Amino acid sequence: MSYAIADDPVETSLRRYASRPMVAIYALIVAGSWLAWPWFAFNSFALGSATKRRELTLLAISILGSIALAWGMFELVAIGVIHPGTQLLLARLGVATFKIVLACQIASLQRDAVQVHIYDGAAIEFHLPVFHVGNAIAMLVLTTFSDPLIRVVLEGVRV
Amino acid sequence: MNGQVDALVTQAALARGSFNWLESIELLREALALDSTHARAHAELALSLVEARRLRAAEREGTLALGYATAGDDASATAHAHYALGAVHAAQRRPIAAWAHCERALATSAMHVDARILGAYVKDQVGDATAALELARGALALHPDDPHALAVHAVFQSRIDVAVADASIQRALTLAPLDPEVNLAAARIALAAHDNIDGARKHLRVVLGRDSYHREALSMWLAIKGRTEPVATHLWRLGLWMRRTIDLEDYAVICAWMVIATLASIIARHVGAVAIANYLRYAWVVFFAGVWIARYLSTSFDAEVNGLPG
Repeated sequence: MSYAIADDPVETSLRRYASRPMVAIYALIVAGSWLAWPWFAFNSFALGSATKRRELTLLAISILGSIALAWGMFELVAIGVIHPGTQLLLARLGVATFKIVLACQIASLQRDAVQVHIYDGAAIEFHLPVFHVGNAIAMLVLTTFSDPLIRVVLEGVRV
Repeated sequence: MNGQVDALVTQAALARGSFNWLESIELLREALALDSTHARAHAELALSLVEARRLRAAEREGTLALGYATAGDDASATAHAHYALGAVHAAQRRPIAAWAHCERALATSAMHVDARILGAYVKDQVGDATAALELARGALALHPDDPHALAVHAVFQSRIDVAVADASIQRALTLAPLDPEVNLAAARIALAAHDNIDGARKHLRVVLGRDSYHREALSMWLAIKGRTEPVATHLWRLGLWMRRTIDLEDYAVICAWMVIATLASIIARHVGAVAIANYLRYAWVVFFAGVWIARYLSTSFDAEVNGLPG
């Protein structure tokens, strides 16, 4: 039996479907969190990341935090503290920034697992077609939801 | 079994010395599978993981090494564990913590030459040139034929006596002609003491051949370039920064770029510059284009570093 180093990823049958976390970050920026969040979660399992629990916890914080922030934002709009227009756009950017900061944390944890895989000779792909398709259908996905709160939670940085 | 573990640790240290970190890590895995409480094996693993840029794991292995060495009351292993943790902190750019471990390594075993060498570089980083020179002299006195001791001595001695420094660096280069640390020292001396651009370039090529993102080697290369081609230097600097951002996946830079562009777009719309606001919405395209340009610029950089026509 070999000695396990703290950041050694676990071998998984899904590894060849794992992506570089940078693409999930791009997906969050361009397409939205509807694509990036499941991508990060899948990547955690596919990479067999040693920090999987931390990644999934950060993901949960990101989802719940975004919902709370978006809800708070619309409550402030309802009572007239935030006015539609520039103020609302800035508030939406605030929600997006919260999502992106947490996504950076998740991505940097996954990057360590990717580096170990690459160092061991495995190829971790970018899987860009998923990103391109996601980008192409982003508008379609977001307009499916009529509730503005869900849209703010699921949209990307390009508000 | 202890003899087998010790042999594996020695083999791993030799593999690390010849820049074969993957082999070193595998040998240490074998060693630790036989004896998971072997302090020196944990310390060596920490040092190999630093080279492989697995700094979180390296810190854990260094901490384990220190724990087992202290529990086993083994002064030599304790000093080595402190040295390993010092190397981890130096790689994490935490010079104060790195020096604290070097100091404890030297307090435990004054004969630890690597702790002296690391301590000299760390002391120089925090601006204490006198202490750096003293540590370098101490390292050389302990091991007059250690290429790294010769190199560190040459670097700090070159500030007061170039002839002595030249003798040290020539000896180091004879002993280890392809060692990055020795070549970096040779480049520093060639540039600072002799203003020998070609000599410095020759040594920097060796360093960048081992690690194309070596911060100090890149800075020196760009400083040389800046003397003759200031415009090209700025473009290269930008190209290398972008390449580094993408290759090392620096998410904070990419995300900050997008958030700032979006903020600028909102402000532009607010002040009525709708056309600018619309352009700014496509900042991510600009970023991708920048990545493409950076690839081109860094290819010409690589060509020059490798001595090929750019």
